Amino acid sequence: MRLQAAVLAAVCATPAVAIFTDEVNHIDFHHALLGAPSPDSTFFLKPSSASNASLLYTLSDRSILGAVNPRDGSLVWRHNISQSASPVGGAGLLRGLDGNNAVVGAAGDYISSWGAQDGKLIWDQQFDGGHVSDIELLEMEEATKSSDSRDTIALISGKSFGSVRRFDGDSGAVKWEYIDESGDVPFQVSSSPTEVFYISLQSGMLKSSKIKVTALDPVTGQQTRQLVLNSESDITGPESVLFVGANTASPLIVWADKSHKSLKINVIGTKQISSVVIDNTSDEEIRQITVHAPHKLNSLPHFLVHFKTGSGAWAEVYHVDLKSAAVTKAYQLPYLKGQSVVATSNIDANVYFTRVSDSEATVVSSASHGILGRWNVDASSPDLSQAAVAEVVAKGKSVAARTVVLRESGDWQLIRNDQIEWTRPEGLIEAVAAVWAEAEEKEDLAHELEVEGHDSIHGAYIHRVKRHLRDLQHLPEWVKDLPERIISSILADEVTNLDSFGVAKPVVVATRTGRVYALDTGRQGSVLWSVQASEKAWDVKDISARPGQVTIYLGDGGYVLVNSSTGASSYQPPVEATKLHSIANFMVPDGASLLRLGAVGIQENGSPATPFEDITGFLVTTSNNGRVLGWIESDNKTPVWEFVPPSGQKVLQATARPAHDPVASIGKVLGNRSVLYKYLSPNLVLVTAVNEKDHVAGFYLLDGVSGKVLHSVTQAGVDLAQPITSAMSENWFAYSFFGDAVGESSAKGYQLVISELYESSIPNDRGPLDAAGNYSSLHSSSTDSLPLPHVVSQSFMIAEPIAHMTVTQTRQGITTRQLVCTLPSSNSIVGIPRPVLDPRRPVDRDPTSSEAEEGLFRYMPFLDFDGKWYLTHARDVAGINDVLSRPTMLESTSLILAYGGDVFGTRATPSQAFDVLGKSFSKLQLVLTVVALTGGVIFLAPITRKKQVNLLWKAT
Amino acid sequence: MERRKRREKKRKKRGSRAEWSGQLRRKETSPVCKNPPVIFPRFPFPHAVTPIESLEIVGLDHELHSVDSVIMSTLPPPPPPQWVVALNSPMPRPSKAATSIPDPPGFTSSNTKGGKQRQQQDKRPATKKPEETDALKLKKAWEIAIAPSKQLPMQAIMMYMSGNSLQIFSIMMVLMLFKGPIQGLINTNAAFAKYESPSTRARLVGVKAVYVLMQLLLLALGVWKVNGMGLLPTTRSDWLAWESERQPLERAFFAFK
Repeated sequence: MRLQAAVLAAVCATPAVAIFTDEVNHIDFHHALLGAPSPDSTFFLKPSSASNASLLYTLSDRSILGAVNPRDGSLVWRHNISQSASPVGGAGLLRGLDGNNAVVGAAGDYISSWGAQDGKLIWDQQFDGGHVSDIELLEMEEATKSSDSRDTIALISGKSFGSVRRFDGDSGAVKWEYIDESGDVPFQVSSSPTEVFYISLQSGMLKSSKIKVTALDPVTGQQTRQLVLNSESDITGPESVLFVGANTASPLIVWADKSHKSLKINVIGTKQISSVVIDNTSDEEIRQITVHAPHKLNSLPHFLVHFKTGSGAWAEVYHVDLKSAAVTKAYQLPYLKGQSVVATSNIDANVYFTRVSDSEATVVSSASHGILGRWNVDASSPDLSQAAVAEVVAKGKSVAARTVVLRESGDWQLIRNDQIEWTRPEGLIEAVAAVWAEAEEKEDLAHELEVEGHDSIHGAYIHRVKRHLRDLQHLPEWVKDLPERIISSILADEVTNLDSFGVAKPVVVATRTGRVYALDTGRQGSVLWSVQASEKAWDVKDISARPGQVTIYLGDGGYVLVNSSTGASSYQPPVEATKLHSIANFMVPDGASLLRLGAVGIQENGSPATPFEDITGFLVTTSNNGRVLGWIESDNKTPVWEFVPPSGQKVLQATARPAHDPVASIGKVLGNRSVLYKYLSPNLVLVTAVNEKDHVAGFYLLDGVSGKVLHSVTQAGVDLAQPITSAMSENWFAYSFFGDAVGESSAKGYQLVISELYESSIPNDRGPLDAAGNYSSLHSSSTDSLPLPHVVSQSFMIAEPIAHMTVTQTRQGITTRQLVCTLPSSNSIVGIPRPVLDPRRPVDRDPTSSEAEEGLFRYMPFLDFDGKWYLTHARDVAGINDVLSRPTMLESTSLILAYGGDVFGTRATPSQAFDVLGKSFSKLQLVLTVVALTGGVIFLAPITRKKQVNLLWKAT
Repeated sequence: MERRKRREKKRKKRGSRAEWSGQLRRKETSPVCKNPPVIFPRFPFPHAVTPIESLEIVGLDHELHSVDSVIMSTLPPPPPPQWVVALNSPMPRPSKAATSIPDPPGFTSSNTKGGKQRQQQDKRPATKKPEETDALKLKKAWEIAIAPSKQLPMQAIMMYMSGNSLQIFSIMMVLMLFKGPIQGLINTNAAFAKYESPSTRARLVGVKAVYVLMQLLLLALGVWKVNGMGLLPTTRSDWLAWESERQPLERAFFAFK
C-alpha cells in the first residue's frame, strides 16, 4: 500500500506530461477550418510586392477570413470577422489587390482591413443601421500617394438609403460619402480608371426594375452623371444581374433575359446595351450562366461566359472594343459532358482562362482559342464543383496553372497541372456528431473465442486447433513481412506501432449539411471517405457505432446506416414521423467495451416514443419544458417520477456518468492507510437548473431510478449569458459558471467547482449499507436502500470560461483522470489532472505528512492552467462544441476528439505513457548490446576455460 | 554486523579445521616414519606449528633420528635443510606453566602416543572426565543459545535508526534480519550437534528451547520493523482490492443529448 502511495505521489508530483515537440502532428491532428469559401471572395494574391509568392485568400460562409498557403493547404492566418452582436445578412465580401499590403473584408455591418501577409488588423469600421453590400479597392494611382495601401470604396445599404464611402487605406478614415436617398435598392459599386460607379436598382412597374448607374468623382465623391438602363423586362431583382464587372478597363454589367435566349451586356458608363444571342447547341436547358472577367485594371477587356446545363457545360469568350463599347464573340470553348468550372487569371495585361472538367484541365488565352496547356487530371467527384480560382504562370511558351476547385460541400482542392496537391475538408466545420468506428474483423475473432468459451473442453480444443491450422495459411505472408516489420520497427519514428492497440481508429463525423466524413486519426486525421448521406440539411440527434456500421439517428425518428469502411449509406424512414428531442441509447458495460442493447427516441415532452419493453431498467429524460423525467420500460405515457426544480428554475443541462466508466479502486486510501469509500452508483444524474430572473443556478444530484435528490447546491449571482457546464465521472462531478460577488464571502469570476462523493465521512466505514453487496433505490428499509452521500467540495477561480467539459476514459480506469475543458476565449483545450482538483486539499495550512503522502497539497483559490496541461499546445483550436473521449487497448492512453468548428484529435496520457516505450528507447541499441555481449561470451569462453585448466595444472 | 558474525563463524570453523587437520597430520606422521624418502617434502613446516603440535613432534624425536640416518646411508650427505636442523636440535623444555595447560575441550588424546600427554591424562582422574565434559558442553551450549539475544539490542538500534522508508539499504537490512533467525531455527539441531551426547540430550532440550526463543525474539524484531515500514497487511486499505463495488439492483439509462 505504501508502494502504491509512493507511486501515487510520483504521479502527483508530475500530474501531466506535456506534449513533446516531436509528438506534434504524430499523436495529434488538427483541421484548422474556415468554412465553405464563397466563390466571389476567394482569390490568389501576392501579399507583398517584393516577393512573387502568392497566398490564397478566402472569406467563408461562416465569415471567417483566412489566408491559405497554396503549397500545402495549411492555414497561414484566419480571423472570424462576424461580430457576435449582429447577425450576418448574406455572405461576406473580401477584396484584395496584387501588391496591396491589405485585404479588406466585410460581413454584416462590419468592415475591416487586414495585413495580407501577417493577418494583423489595419483598421476596422462598424455602421449602425446598415450593412455592407459591396466593397471595391480603388486601383487607380494617385500622385499624392506613395504607399502601397489602396483606398476602399464601400456601399452600405440601410433601410431607406444607400451610401457610398471611401475609406483611407491606412487609417480607415472616411474621405467622402455619397448618400442616395432616392429609395433605390443599393446594388454594387464598381470603378473604372477615372470614375467610381454606384449601381442601384430602381424599382419600376410589376416587380421589374431598371438599373441606375451613378458616376461619382473618385476624389471628391460628387455625382458627375447618372443614367438609367432600359432593362425592365429582364431584371426583377439583384439576383437576376449576372455580373457587375469590377475594376477592369471596361467594367461591365451583364444580365440575361428570362428564357436564357440572349445575353445583355452594358459597358458601365455608357447607355449602349449589346445583346448577344446564346447559341445553345445542346438539347438541354441552361441552368446557370456565370461571367468571368479579369479584375485587374490594366488587363485586356476580355471576358468569358460559362453556360451550364444539367449534364454539361460550354463557354464563350467575348472581346469588348474600348472605343465603341461594342461586344464581339471571339471564340468558344467546346461543350463538355460532366462538371466544368472556369477561372480567370492575369499575367500583366494578358488574361488566361483555366477550365477544369472531370478529366482534364486546360488553359487558354483570352486572345485566341489555342490551348496553352492541357493536363489529364481526375477531378471527378460526386461532390459537385461549384467554382474555381486559378493562378497561371507562364514559362516561356508553356504555362503552369494552379487551380483551386471549390466544391458544393465546401471542400476545396488545389490542382497543380495534373496533380491534386491537397484537399481542405471545409465541410467538417459543420460537424454535429462524431463517433469512433468499430472495426469488423475483430468481431470475428471475438465470435470464435465465444464459440470456444461455450463449447465443451474437448470441442473447444478441436475448434482452436482448427482455427490455428486455418491461421497457418497466413504464415507465408507473415514470414515475408517479417524482415520489413523488423527493419521498420527499428527505423520507424514511433518505437512501437500502436495502431493495433486501438489508437488509430477511424472516426465518423456527421455534419449539419448532411455529409458524413471518416477521418483516420492515425494518419493526421486525413479523410478516408466522405459522402453526402442526405441531400438537404438534417437534424442529427445521436450517432452510434457497431462493428462495421455507424447509425445516425435523425430528429424525425428515422435513421441512416453508414458502412464505416466504405461510406455506403442507406436511409431508414421512421415508422411514424415524430419530432424527437433526443435519443436514448441503451448501453451496458460489458467488460472493457460497451454492449449496445437498443435505442429509443425521446419526444419533445420527454416521453419515449415507444415503450422499451425488451430492456430492463429505468430511463431518465429531459423535456423541453425544463424538467427531468424518469420512465419505466413498460409505460411511455406517465413517468414514474418527475423532477421539477424549485423556485422557477428550469433544467438547463443534465449529465450522467459515461456508459464506460470503470472504477479501479472503490475507496480512497488515506495517508494513515485507512480507506474513505467512494460513493459509486451508475444511476447518478447531475442536473443543472437556472432561474433567469434571479440569476440563480442550482446543481442537483439525483438518483436516476427513484428520482430522489441526493445532494443539491445553489449558486447565487450566476451570469447565465456565460457558459455553464458540468461533467461527472466515478465518484465526483465538476461544474463551472461565472459567479458574481453577491455576498461577502463569494468571489466574482469564473469558477470551477469539484465535488467528491463518499459513502461516509469516517474512514473505514461503508455507511449504513456496510458490507451489503447489492442495494435498491426503490426499497425504503435502511438496510438496503440508497443512503445519502457524504459530499466534499472545493471551488477554484479560473481565468477564462469553460464551454464544455468531459472526462478522459481509459480501459480499466486505473490511470488518473483528466477533466478536459474547452476554453473558447483562448481557442484551446486543457486537460486538468484530477489530483489538482482534489476537494480534500488542506485549506489555509500546509498538508500534514500523512496528507502529503496522499498527494494532497495546499489549496490555492486561483487555479492557474499550467502550460503542460494544454492538450492543444500551440494550436489554435476554434469553435469547439463537443469533446469526446474513448479508451484504447493501452491503459495509459485515451483518445480525444474535439469537433464543432475545427476538428482536433489527440491522445491523452494523464499518468504519462507508462505502458508504451518512449522514443528515447532505442531498439537498435538494445539489439546491438545483446549481440555484442553474446559475441563477447562466445569469444571469451574458450579462453577462460583454457586458463582455468592451465591454472589447475600449474597448481600441482 | 552480520559480516562480523559470519567472520566469527568462519574463525570457529577454521579453528576446528586446524584441530582436525592436526589429527590428520598426526595420523600421517606415523606412515611417514616408515617410508621416509617419498613423503618427506610434504612434511609440514615447523614454523607454522602450534604449541600443541610442537608437543607431538617432540614426542616423535627418536623416530626421526632414525629417518635421518637412513638418508645419510643411501645418499651422499647433502647439507641438511634448515628445518631438519631445527628438528634435530632438541626443543627447549617447556616451562612448568606450559606443561600444566590442560587439553582444549573436545581434544581427545586417546590415540596419541606422546608419553607426556599420556602422563598428563594419567594424572587426571578417569572417573571425573565425562561429567566434566558434559558440564563444559552444556556451558558451551548455553553460550550458543544465549548468543542471539546479544544481537538483539544492537539490531533494534540499527532498525530504529534505519528509518521506515523503503530504500534498498533498509530493505536489505530487514531481509538480513529475517534470514539470520530463520536459518538459525532451521539449523537448531545442527548448532547443538557438537554438544549432543546421550548424557546431555535431556538437558539440551531446555537449552534448545531458549535458543529457539531467542531466535523468535529476533524474528519478532524483524516483524516489528516490517510493520513499521508498512509492509504488513494489517489495515483496511491492504484488503481494499478484494472488496467489491456495491451493485445496484436497478439500472437507469439516460437520454440527455
